Amino acid sequence: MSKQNNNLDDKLSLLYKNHKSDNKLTQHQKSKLINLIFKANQKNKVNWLYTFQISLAAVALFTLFGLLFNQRYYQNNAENIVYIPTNSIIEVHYLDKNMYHKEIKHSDKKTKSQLARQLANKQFTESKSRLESYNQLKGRLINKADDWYIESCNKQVLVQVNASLLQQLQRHNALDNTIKQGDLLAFKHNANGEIIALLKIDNHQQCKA
Amino acid sequence: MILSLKQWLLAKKDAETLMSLYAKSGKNEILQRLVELHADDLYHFLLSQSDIELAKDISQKTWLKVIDKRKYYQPNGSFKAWLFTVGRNTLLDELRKLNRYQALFDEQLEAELIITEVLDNDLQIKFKQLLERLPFSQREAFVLQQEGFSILQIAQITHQKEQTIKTRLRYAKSYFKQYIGG
Repeated sequence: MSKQNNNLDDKLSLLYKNHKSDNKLTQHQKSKLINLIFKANQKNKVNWLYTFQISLAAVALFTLFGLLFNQRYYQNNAENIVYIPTNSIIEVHYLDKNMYHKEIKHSDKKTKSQLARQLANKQFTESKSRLESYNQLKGRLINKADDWYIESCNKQVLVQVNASLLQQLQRHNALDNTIKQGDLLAFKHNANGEIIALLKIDNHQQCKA
Repeated sequence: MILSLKQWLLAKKDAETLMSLYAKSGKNEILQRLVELHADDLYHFLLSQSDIELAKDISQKTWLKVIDKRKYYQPNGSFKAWLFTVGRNTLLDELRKLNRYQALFDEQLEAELIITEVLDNDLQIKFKQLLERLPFSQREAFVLQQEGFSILQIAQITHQKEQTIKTRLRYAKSYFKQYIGG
């Protein structure tokens, strides 16, 4: 029985091999097939390169949009955006560890030439003395991000009020909730020159220093 | 000289090594070597399951899939088994599109076949006639076995249980025995 099966297997195997050799691709068909898949292989590589280029362009565009519209970037650079060359000094008011801090920064752009430096120094001195003499100062809110930027009416001082201080003012009800960009504001200072309140003034009033 | 040396080196490698090399490099000469090794095997398998035009078409499509799917090739398996799996799936997809898929399995008879027509006296022609009349799934298992695949590999290629393959092969053999003899 087993011998008979082996005979059948051998017979079928031989018949199959003959059948296969009678039904194979001709040399011409094989060459055609090889050429076709070579072309496809090449195209496959080109497609990969194309995909890579598209991806690269997409990443570049994404980065560009990110740089242009990223809010954080915008906020961090608000000082540059709102900077007006006539402001010779920038006052920064902020709270750090519950301590009130006030920094007065000098405008760098004014120091590029000696003449500009002299002028800036003069303006700085004048503005500082004027600031000290006022216990109430008016200005226009020119940028409202996390930090607020208020330009004094005489355009000599740019006051930066940091978010920390704004929060405290809000807690003490010393900040008008309806304030929006472009509003005319009045500062209330204490004896130390610290901002204790920001009040909205009627926009019809003239901006007088 | 360098090119012929390269081809000689490639000729010495088995299909699995060649496919692993091709998956990494995508080089045409390696692909050509694989085609030379297995194009006829694949074409004959597809031909036994369809017709000349479809076999040629599916053969091309299968090799194009080898190019596309080369990254998915697992070097631990047999390349020929992988190629035949891709080829079979491509063929079945095409038959589905042509609405010929269901018919293949509807006519599948696990019982013995009875051929009423007169078979040729020439044994080789008789074998061809018998092979063509064998039900699709039995023919598939038989051809794959003749191609050197084990029961397990046939089961994996056709997504069937080993026992099912054994049964199909038993029916196929008994059918050939009936008309060709031992």
